[in-house]
Amino acid sequence: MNPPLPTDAEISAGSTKVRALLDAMNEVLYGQEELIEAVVTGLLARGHLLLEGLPGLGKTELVKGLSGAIGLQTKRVQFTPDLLPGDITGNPVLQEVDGRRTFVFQPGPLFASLVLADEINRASPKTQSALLEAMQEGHVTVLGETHPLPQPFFVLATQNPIELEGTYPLPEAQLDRFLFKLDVRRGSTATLQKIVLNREIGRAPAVAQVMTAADLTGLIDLARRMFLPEVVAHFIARLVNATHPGQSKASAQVRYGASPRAALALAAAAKARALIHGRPNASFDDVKAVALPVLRHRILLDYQARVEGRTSNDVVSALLEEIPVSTDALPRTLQAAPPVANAG
Amino acid sequence: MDGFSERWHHLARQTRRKINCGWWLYVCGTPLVGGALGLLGPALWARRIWPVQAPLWVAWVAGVAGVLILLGSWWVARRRFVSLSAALVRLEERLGLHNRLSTAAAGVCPWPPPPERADDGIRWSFANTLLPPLTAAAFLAAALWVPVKARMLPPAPDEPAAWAATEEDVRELARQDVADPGSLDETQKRVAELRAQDAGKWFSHASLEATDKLREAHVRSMADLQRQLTRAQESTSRLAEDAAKLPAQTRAGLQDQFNQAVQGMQAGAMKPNPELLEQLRAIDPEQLAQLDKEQMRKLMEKMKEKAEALGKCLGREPGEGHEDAEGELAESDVGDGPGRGGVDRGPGTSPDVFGEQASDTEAQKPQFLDPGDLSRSLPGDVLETTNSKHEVELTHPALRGGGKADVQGGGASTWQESLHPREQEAVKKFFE
Repeated sequence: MNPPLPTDAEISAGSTKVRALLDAMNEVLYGQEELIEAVVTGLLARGHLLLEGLPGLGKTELVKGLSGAIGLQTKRVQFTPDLLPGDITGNPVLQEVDGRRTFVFQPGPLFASLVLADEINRASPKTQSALLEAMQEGHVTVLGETHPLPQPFFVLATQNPIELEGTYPLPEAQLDRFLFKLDVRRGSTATLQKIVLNREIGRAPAVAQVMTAADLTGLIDLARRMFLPEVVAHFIARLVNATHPGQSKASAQVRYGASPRAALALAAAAKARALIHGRPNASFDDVKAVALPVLRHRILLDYQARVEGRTSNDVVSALLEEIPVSTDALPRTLQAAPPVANAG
Repeated sequence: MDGFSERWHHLARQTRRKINCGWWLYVCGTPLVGGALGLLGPALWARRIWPVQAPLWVAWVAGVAGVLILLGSWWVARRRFVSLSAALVRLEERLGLHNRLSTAAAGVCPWPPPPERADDGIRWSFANTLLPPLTAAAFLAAALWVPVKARMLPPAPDEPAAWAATEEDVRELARQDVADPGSLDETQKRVAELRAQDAGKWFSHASLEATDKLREAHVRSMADLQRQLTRAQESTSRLAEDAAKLPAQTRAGLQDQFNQAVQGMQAGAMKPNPELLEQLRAIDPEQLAQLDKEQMRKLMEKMKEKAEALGKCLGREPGEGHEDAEGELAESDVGDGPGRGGVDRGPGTSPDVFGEQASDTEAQKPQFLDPGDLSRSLPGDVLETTNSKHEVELTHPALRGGGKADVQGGGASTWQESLHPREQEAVKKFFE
């Protein structure tokens, strides 16, 4: 049974709260409006995010700001090669309780609403698996005992694109668990100037809390209930199908395409974006806006593409150009007029 | 809100109609051009053979083919037709409505206010739309109006002139209402039967014979009717005006003449106008003087008109030589003796000599043949002929053994020994 569709009032109220959150975050991180909106969209879509960027671009500040604005319990884990799985999930510790020695589980840093996993690609695959398993299952099992993770639970993982020696790149199957893979880029000169004028090393910026965890949970539920028209769902399906080799011109050098999980991710993210913009339904534009962060890490290119320097970003961009929103082609007796700027 | 929905649906229907029409025109373009091109060759050939009828046939064929192509194209193109919901998607995409229309159509949210003029972003490509039908029209125009030299058919053979002359007479008599329509129809039918033959047989002996007979009978019946009408008219005129003054014998003769004329008309091959005949039959010649003068005058005028019409067909005035119908026929070019062929038939028998033909009497006179140099005569040459008595060999060369003839016998022995008595009687009778 489908959940009830949100009312206009609910949408309007939710959009207002999200806008407040975005405004607060824009005060934390200058010149990263798109990144901030993408992060908030990912949160509303109840997804984990992978941030890739050079050091010092504000990834940690972003997470801290998010934690302060929403009032979420946040923990940070610096992944190193010697990090053990128990270091993040928690370990049973032998303690004396009521005169008896027993193992008591000590929760690790994973037990927080917002977990910043810094440089996840530096940890061993075993440690990565422990984290990714917790992300997927929503609980941790130690010595046969299951410990549920707090709700909401988000993992914002980061990785450094330049330090490749001594790292353990995440396998594709585990990358698929991240809703978004976001590129964190440096800002413009004006942004840098603003940072210089308003920030100091070692002093975290003040962030006003604009919502609670309960509010966030409500917004997540609201986003889940947003309406997805059939034509948009059809567009999502055609888009994901086109990522597979042989299904489109853009996927000519693709070795493996996106999974159905990518289609679900697109739908969830499109709904969340529609809520942010105060619309009652997800649209083609919402899907196109979230397509790149959703698909870029789920498409595996072949060797030829790597030799030519073609990236998954190029493939996704080409797919968005090639796949039309409408399946009804026009005959040669008709022609489409140029798109109108600022339509709607 | 219902108004918004209606307006959006109206706009979507317009868009749908445009796209579907575009598909239909696109699909029928190639068959139209191909069909017109395929029709061009046969049409030009048909116009060469039948220059008068062909254009109408070509137009008919083009019309029917065009309708079939349009219907077939619609049937094929409808697989590509878009639905109303697809048209709504096009509209909302063009207007930047973020799928609001699809959502409203699903009943999730209200319809947004429609703009005054909604642009669906679809334009006609006039070159691709108009080029195929214009090309097809150009081919069709070429098929109908490009000058084509008609094939030189062999000239239609001239039919015998007697047919046209007979038909002309029939038409004239029908127009003047002279004769009974049944008689005229019969003549017309006979001419039609002769014309229905193969043109190569029109001038065959049998056909020309039949034509001659028909013409002869037709002329004879016209002349006969004319004669009867003239006699009736004359007798009626004299009886109506001077009956009292005429001697009884003359009056009786005129009455007989009238009755005979009427009977002749009734019995003739070509009967007069039924109305006229009925009027004549109703007249009692003995009471002519008592009849209405005006009616009689009209009746006589009518008879005179009919007789004049017949005379025109026969080529002379009425009352002139009407008793000489045989002579009229004899003077005509129709004949059936040797050397008596007419204009229609040409000469009868072909002459077998050139130059003057020798008279028969000269051929019977014996002529003396000059033998010339007798030293060169050969055995068997006739040196002279004489008219003298035969020298009869009286001795009979009786046959002996070995086949040698005995010259002691002669003709007398042959008469006595070889001929049978009956043979002897026959020979004797012959020479007597």
